[in-house]
Amino acid sequence: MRTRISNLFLWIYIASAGLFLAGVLVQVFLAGLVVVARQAGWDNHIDLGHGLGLPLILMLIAMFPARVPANGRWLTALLFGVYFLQADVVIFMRETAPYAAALHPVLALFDFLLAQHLVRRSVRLLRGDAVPLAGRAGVGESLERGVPVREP
Amino acid sequence: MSAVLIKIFRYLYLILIWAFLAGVVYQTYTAGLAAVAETTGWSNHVGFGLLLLLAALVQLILIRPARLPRPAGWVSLGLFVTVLVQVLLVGNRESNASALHPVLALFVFWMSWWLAMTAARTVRGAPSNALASAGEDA
Repeated sequence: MRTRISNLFLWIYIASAGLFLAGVLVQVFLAGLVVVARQAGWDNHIDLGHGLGLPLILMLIAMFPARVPANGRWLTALLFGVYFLQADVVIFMRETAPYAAALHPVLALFDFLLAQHLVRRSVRLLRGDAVPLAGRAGVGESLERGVPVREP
Repeated sequence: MSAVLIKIFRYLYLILIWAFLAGVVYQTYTAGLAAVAETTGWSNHVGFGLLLLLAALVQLILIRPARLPRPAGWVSLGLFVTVLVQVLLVGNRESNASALHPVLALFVFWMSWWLAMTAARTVRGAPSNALASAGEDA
């Protein structure tokens, strides 16, 4: 059953996820401006890249009071892990392990894939469409306009 | 078209689209090698990019006989057009629009992921006697 408070936090979660998704697009465009168009330096890309951690932290905090289903919470944590690996680990390995550092743009693909999935899922949850919950102890539930739906 | 033939095309499509998806990841990695790690030049990325364009065209041709459920046909078309635009954009590097080249890669990855999942579900889920009727939706 969703409450006003859980919906409020779900709004915060969706806004943060949307902001992160838009940020990834801008971030990749900024990289394109440097590498492909050769119109800019890396400064903007670096600044925005570290700023993108903020909406992710908001998502991690809001997902519990927002009552995001368990698998959505795991995917949010995975997204944070991918982002952390990308922005704070592999990019600093250019000298020591260049073949690992080259994974930096590959991880952006997974940032985008996970973020768009979480945005679409959480919007469905807010609308009250059926979103399966990976229930505890193997008990499956669906939220359909606030009414739990039995598994077949 | 017989159910067996549809099944063969579906398997062909499944193999191709998963190879394409892996190719997109590899292609992005080669960009990382050139731009981030600076261990190689761009020749691998350019050569493999043209191969991906060809693969995108072949998957567009195969989507019809594979008869995947809607809206796979449109996503397949979108995938080919996006890859084509990517190649065209990089040809005009004087313009700021060429910076959209890596942005489009994100959408290429998303669409090919969606198609790969849809193809896998269709191959796994549709019994052979239901193939023809399911194919009507494509």
